[in-house]
Amino acid sequence: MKNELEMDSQKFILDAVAVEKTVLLGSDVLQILEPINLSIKVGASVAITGASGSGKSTLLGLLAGLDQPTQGSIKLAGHELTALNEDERAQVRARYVGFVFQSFQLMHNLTALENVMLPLELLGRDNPEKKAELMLERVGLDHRLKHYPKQLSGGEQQRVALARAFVTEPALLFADEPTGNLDSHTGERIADLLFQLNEEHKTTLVLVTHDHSLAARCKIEVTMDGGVIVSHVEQNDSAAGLPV
Amino acid sequence: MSLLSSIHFALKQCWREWKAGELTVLLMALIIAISSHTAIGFFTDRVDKAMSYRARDLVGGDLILKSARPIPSAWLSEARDQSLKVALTQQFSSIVMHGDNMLLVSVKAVDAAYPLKAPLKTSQVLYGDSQLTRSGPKLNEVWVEAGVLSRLDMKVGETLTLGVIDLKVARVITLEPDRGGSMYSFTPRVMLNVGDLARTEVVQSGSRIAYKALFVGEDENIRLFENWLKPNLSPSHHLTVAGEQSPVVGNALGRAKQFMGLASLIAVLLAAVAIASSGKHYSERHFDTSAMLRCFGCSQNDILFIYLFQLLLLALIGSISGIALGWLAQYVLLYLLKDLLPAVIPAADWRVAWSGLGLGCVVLLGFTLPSVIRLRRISPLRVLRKDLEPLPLSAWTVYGSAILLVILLMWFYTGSLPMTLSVLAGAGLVWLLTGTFIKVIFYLLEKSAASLSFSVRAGTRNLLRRKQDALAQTAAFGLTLMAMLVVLFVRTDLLENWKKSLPDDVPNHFVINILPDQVASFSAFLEQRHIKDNALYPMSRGRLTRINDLPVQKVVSKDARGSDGLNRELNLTWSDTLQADNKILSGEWWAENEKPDKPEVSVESRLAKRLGIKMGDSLTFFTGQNEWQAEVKSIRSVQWESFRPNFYFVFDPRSVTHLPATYMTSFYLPAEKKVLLTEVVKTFPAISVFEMDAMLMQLKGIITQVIAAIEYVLFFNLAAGLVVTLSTLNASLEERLREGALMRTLGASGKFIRRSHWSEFGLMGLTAGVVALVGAELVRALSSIYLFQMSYTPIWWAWFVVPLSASFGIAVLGVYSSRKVLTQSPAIVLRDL
Repeated sequence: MKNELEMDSQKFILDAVAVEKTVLLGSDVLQILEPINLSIKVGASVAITGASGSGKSTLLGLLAGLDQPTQGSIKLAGHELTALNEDERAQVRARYVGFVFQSFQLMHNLTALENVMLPLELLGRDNPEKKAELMLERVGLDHRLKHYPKQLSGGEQQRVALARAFVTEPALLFADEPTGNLDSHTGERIADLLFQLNEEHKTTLVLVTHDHSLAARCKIEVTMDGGVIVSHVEQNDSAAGLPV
Repeated sequence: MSLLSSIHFALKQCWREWKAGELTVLLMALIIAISSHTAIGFFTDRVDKAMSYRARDLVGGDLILKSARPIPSAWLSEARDQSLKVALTQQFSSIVMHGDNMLLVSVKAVDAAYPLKAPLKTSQVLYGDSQLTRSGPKLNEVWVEAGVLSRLDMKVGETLTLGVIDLKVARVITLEPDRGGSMYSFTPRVMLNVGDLARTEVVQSGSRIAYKALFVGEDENIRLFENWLKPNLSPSHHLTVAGEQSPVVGNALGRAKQFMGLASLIAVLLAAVAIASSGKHYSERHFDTSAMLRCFGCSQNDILFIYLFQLLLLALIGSISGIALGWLAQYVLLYLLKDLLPAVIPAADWRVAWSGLGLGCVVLLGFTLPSVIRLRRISPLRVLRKDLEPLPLSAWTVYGSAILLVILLMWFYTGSLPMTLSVLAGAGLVWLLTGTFIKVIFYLLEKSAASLSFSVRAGTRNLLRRKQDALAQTAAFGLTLMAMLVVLFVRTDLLENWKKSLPDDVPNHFVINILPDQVASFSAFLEQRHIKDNALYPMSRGRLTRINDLPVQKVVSKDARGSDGLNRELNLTWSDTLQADNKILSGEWWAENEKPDKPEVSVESRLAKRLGIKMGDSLTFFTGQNEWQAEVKSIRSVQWESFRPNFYFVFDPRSVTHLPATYMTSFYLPAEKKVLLTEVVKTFPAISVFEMDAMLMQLKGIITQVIAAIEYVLFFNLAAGLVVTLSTLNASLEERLREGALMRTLGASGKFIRRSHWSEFGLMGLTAGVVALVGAELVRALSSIYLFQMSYTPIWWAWFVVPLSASFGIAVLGVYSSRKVLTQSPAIVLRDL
């Protein structure tokens, strides 16, 4: 599927139109996201930045189809997420999406190798073990295959998470503060690895961070404040749509 | 995912989780539950069979056919063809003589196969040591009961005359196991070889002889033969299937069975508690995994399938291992009891294993399925927001179905609705009270927080913060404790009851045929020799012939035709007052000043039930040459195991003045005073004395076995309860570790944390102890009254001992199981969790 999308790099892999999110707090309606428009082209790298509570993680959850907007439309690889139920969205995620999280979200009861194998097994891909091993080798953990997450350092755990995210060769990778739980040195090395892998796999990257140096490595930087996109900076060419 | 890949994936996940130790707690809880349930099941099944086999000794065979005519030899060869062993006896009354003395005796002619079941006990001298004897008398000799020798004034080795031949008395019979449980139906026994019978010429055509065929064999063969035989029987045949024991033994065994059933029920309850608490924990640990799997694209049904499969696999593995362990454990139990149990113990029924498997699946799935359904509903957004938990289900949804299944299981296993309901009532009370108590305690704690020391406050705050968990955990402790207390209390009640019903001086001699004008001198005779006699009862022999003008044989179903009350002469008595250990169940005892118009009778409750006799029925009796009627005025329960004279029918004395009477009584005579018997018989030649020592010994033997079995079952239950408590404690360990690490990071000392644990667990134990005691007393009261037919008295001391020791015990176990909180470095704990 990635190849079919790659054929047309002008196509939007992600297209959010007038996306709003409100929650009910007792009898009060709390507007978390004002109507937002954001289109991301195939192969782009987009950083969403902003202070805590600015709504960037909420936006990520919506774009990845983990949550439903109150209003608006989100198309992921041509699929209208708002028209799908949770199981159908899960199928879309399985086909196109990979994740990296701030808290790594490795399964503590699986070894490093098993963690990386898991998404391949769920997709029913051939030779999951071989592919997972190669991927772990790629992130420099070939000596840690049989270790459980709690036996690994934070940096190592995030490398396992990166291996797990890229092993299925997703068209779109969502990363939520991927270096947020790491010291600056380790964080930098993880960021290097993330961008290298992104380059190698030609993945579209959507990154949520409040680390400006990390954001600066993306082609587009979208800044949020109070549930609104306040700036939209393209580093070189025009791969993104315009904010409202 | 396709089914195959789902199964493949589920299997892999299961193996991975097992490897990582994720499933250990749940699996252990299941194994413990199933092994204790099946161990008790296997054990009670086998002990029960062994004891009922032993009870069959009392009737001499597995199947007994009685007839007034010789038993057709075709039937006997059919029995032999069906691999049954057969022994034949003939029994009749006759006179034996020695010198000038004559005595009416009950003659029993036995063949070479006799005895089929338990051996006889005989001795070579009067009141000498007994030996087990596995055959009957040889030709030309007789064996006799002690009474024959003393009343004919003769010794072993001398000859007595039966009919036209002289036979040498070779042995004294001290125990004839199949003599029968009915106490007053016998005259002293003379046993001879059937080969000598014809020569005696006492049997003529028209003689009243009871022919008996005893059959012994495998249960299945017995059943087949019984089915074959039944259509061939005529009304003059009486078929008894062993297992319908004498009321005395039946009562002891019945209660023991009920207790075992209760113990097994308690094991089911413990299983449910263990699984419910670790099942909840299991599902909570899988919140993150499920959210992640959803992120990777698993559908809700995939999640459901994966966990269902995992649980089913766990249920199978846990149940099968539990059954295997239970199987081994029952061998250990039987080994420990080997001195008390019969040498050969029948194999256990494999149905117990199936029920273990069923229990494992039902309990595991019943108590975890609702949590798994919750896992299915988890939002994938949880990967971003850890606080997102699936909507909690109401307690009723979660446990309602499982509880219903457990109730059905309990009912199925015990076959006793009252017992199941008693235990459920107790458990329900524990649950409700725990909820109320915890709320009250929380309220008080919140109010009084300021006045408590800081560490105690921290402990109580721990409780307050996890209200739901604290409630669930305290209820689990409460239920476990209740279960343990119930078996402990009921066992103590049973033991005391038995001790009371069979004191050391329980009457071991019965005397009948005391003539009315000898009553006073007989009492005086005993008194002079410091022998305490029980009250004297008038007695008259008669038959029950009709119930409400219908012949008894027609009224009664074919199955009940072997009933004691039907086919032999009964002892009828009359009395102004109700015997102390009898109880009126319906109707009234006769009023003092109303002289009845026609005879009135009070009927023993079991016989009434067997014969379908109800209040107001008219019963026709045949005594001497007369038929006369009596109206049923009351139905009475009788304590047969009291070994005092007891009667099926008691009449209003003013209404049966027409009956001729002799008197009977019972007394206790220790072994060293046995020689007095000879004197008694010489002074009052008309009376008949029966020694009940052998039967008492048999009964005491059975009860000793029952008690020993109960002790071990109790121990097993207590051990299971302890393990369940530990696993409940373990379920909250992770949360405690995290809190402890945080507290220590913030500077709390080890002493401080330990104190807060002591107060937290102490309070939980105290609450659990109180509610458990209330629940256990309720179960005990209900089961005593409705199940064991015993009186209930509250155990006051328990109100001090149980809550305090529960508080202390749970605190010790809790602090011990939480020791890791203090020994592990906070840094490691915080990183790992």
